[in-house]
Amino acid sequence: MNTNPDERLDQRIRQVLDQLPDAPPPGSTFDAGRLWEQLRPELAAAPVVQPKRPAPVWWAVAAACMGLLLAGVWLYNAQTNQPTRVEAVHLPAPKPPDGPRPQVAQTPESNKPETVAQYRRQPERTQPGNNRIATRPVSEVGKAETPVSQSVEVPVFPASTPGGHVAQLTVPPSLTPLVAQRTSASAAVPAKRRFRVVHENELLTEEETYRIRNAGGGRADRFVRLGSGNGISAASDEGPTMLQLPLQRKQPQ
Amino acid sequence: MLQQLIEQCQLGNGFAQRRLYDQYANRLFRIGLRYVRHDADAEEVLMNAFLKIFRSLHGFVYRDDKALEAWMKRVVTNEALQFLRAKQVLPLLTEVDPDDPPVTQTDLPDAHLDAEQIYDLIRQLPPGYRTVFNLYAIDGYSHREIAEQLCISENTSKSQLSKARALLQSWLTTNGYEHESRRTS
Repeated sequence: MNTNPDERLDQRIRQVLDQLPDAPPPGSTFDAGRLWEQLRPELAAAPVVQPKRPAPVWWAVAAACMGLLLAGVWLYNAQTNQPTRVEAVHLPAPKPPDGPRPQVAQTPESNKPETVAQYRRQPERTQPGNNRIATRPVSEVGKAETPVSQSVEVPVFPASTPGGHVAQLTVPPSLTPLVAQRTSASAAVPAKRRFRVVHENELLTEEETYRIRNAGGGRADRFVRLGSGNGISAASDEGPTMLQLPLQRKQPQ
Repeated sequence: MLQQLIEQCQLGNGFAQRRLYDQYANRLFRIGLRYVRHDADAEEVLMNAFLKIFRSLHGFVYRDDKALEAWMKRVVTNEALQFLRAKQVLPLLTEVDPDDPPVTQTDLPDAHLDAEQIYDLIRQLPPGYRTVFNLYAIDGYSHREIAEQLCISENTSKSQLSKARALLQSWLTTNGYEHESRRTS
């Protein structure tokens, strides 16, 4: 309830003006028909502005952009999920060892020209006894039951084989790779370290045994001697040159 | 009914535009005439207002008849204010006029007021008084909105309104309307 007299006057005047007839005030010269005649050409000259609708070409552009974006995402995902491949490359043949060459079994397929095969990167698997590196061909991905899978046997010498994983598989051209059926057991054998720590006496015993067995003179390149070799200095003069790494303790300062 | 008329006007139907014009022309003309006093000026205001209404009708969302009428009245009011600004009438508004008589509170006139006579009295108010009185007392603007519309301060708006009320009261008394307090005493 508004008790302000000014507000009551305003309200009263509003009520009174609402009672005005829907006609021009008395004495006015206003003619609605005449004004419409003036207004109609103006309306015709300026058509009604329709709300702007997006043109179809913009829809097409938007669809193309969306398609490109989706294709890019798909390609990116495809490249991200692609497995890392290890290619077999031919390197110059190293000097073959003088010792007894490991037996390499040949199959009829080995006479075919060598091809560079791509292999999926696998953890290195070695047979403890026969120095084999088992690999899995690319064709086996997703098909574990494929019987024609091939593996390449490469003779590995214990002294020159680095520990850990083999990132690049090197196939000497002088050695004919053995193509054999890959057994599932070889794939299941986990990789093992190729070095073991032995006592000096054990090393001396092995070296003596090797020297006796290869009396004709072969290089004892299978051993790496760590520590002082005073105990075998006389014997080393007769045999092949050995790598001796004397251990020296640092003097505490 | 009116909604269909609006939809046809939005599609640019000339017949519908004419019907809408005929329905509101006189009412809107009166609103314009309250602000600009002369018929020719009010016709100009009304014409510009209808042009703006028809051109911007596509953006209007119809809710009910009152909302449509309020929107059209606001368009006419804005056109009238624009006309007054173009005629440089509104800068004559002053905050303090020392020659004006002091404003005194008046009582409400009796209930028997003639609408046409009140309408004429409002039109005879000075431009500044009339504009502020129309905006505040009849069309429902606040002093803040009036100050923004007319580029004046709120105090100026209040002062103009108070003076307009006082002048209108004195004219009502002069024209034979008694105050309630006098009539009842």
